[in-house]
Amino acid sequence: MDCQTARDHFSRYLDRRLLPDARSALDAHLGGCAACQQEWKLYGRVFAAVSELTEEPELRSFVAPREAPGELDRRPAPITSISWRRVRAASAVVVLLAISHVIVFEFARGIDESPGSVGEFRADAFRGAGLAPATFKRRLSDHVDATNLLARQIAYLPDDASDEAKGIVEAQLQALDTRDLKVDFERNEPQLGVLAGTARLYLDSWHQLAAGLKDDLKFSKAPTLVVTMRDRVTNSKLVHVLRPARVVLASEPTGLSWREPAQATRLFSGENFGVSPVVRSYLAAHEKLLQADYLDAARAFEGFSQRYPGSRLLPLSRYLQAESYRRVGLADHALRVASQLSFGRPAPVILNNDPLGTLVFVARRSVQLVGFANDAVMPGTETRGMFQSFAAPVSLQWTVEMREFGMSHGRGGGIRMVVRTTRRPGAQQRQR
Amino acid sequence: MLMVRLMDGDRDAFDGLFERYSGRLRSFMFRFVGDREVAEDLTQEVFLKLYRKPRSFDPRGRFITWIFAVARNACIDWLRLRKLPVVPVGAGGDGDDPTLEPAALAAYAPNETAVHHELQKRMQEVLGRLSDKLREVFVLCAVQGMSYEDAATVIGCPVKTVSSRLSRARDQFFQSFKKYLDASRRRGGQ
Repeated sequence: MDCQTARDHFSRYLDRRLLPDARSALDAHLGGCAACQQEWKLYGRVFAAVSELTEEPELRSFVAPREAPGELDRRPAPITSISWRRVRAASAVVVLLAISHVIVFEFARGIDESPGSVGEFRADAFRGAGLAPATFKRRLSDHVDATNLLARQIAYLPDDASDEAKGIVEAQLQALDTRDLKVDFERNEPQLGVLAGTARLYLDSWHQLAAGLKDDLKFSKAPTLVVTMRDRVTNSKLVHVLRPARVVLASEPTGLSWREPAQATRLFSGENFGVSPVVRSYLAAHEKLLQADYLDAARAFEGFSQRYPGSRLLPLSRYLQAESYRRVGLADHALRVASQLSFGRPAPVILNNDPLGTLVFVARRSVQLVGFANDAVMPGTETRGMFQSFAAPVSLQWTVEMREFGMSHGRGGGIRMVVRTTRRPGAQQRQR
Repeated sequence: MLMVRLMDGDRDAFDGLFERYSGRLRSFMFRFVGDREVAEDLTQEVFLKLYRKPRSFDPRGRFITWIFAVARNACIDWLRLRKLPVVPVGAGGDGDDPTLEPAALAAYAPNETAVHHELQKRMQEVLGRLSDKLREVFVLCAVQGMSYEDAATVIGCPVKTVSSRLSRARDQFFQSFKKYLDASRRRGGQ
């Protein structure tokens, strides 16, 4: 080691940050070079002195404002009183219960429309004559999101879910029929520009997707689900073109059966909502979301979750709270809430086209993608910029390791995906 | 945890945090902006922010790195917005008259007020010549004793960057300080 190299190492040597080889080499050099040894001694003394420098203790006392600390902070209170482990254990059970009772799949109205009643299922959400292109785009976007959510809902269904639970989901799938949307599409096609091709592709392939999802419901759904979702929905790339939809999923057992047409209508019309204080409280938060008052919605969902920690609506409340934060770009808050969600089974992730699913995914840091075929994400690849539409200083990069698991149990094995999240340089600090 | 209590509106928790961290923060900001009064104001500003918006802290993170990041941003904003150069404390007046002997440094002990004062003065002068990026790493790690990892979190850069910047900052500081010591020695010999 020459003298210059030795001196270049001084800082790391001082902080004991040199690797053993470099440290030994430097020790050897200092042992034989008087000049460097002297330099090192002075260096050590100078920085020992620097590290001992302290400011004089006098400091102006803090002049506190009149209000109490945090009184004007409109952010919701942090979720510090809930044990994550408890939430996880509870939500694993609760989600399974809730999912089996998922009854309403609801679509928010467009901003330029008059507000509807809470819980109203807009069976005609995707119908309408002479729609403006902007409205059509929004409905199409809603449709994509609704399909995504439904696909995730199917994935979350336990293998031994009741026929009724599966039937409910299937009914929702039918309600998403694209026939009327196609009519609107044809009317609007000339005004849609570059979107037209993508929209046509999506609408043409939707029935195939729905059929795949129905198969998933009937049979062993997991292995085909990821492929189906990715190929049919994600590849539509609509998320890059369309604004995020405001799709809301509500759930509460009502004792009504979807099999009875009259009752099913009531289920989907939401007439039966509001029967208990718990549901009322949930819907109050829900209404704020429908009205795009996202911050108020997030606070209301937080209030609901604090008040009714045992409700089976808790996971949905947390989910929508995270979604509300996401909509206004409060990524940190959204992540914090999403990190409390647990679905009791590996969460399938619709990469690129499922912001909140991705959010949960990010919060959990790792996920198992069940299924062999996963050609969209090549092993060892890294991708960035997944959260471009997220309007938040989060960028995600992931690497995929091929790691077989579960083979010995005859379940087909799978791919373990390891995710690392990073922030854009400096973004975290600047947003404070 | 004080911070959690503060988020619930506990005034005592705020006082506890102020007592525990304000000195360190003020010291950091003084080294960063080079002006004691400004550092004092910025400290008040940082704590006012904490008082008013405690929930901007993410409880999953560490308070110390978060509050230093807030302080760092306050310094950068101040330096940028005011477009003021870092004015070395002690520049002018007797600052041009090196009197600190190398022997005094060798025998340096924190309680020796005169040497301490001199070293403070020289250090701020040398710090003023470092670029912002080098200075912040220097102050965080070499002066405040923060770990490379925490400093990386505060600044928002990789640990390796902290390591290399610190090395460069120390080198510049050391070379500059040595010049001063040499001048001091020559004067002593005259």
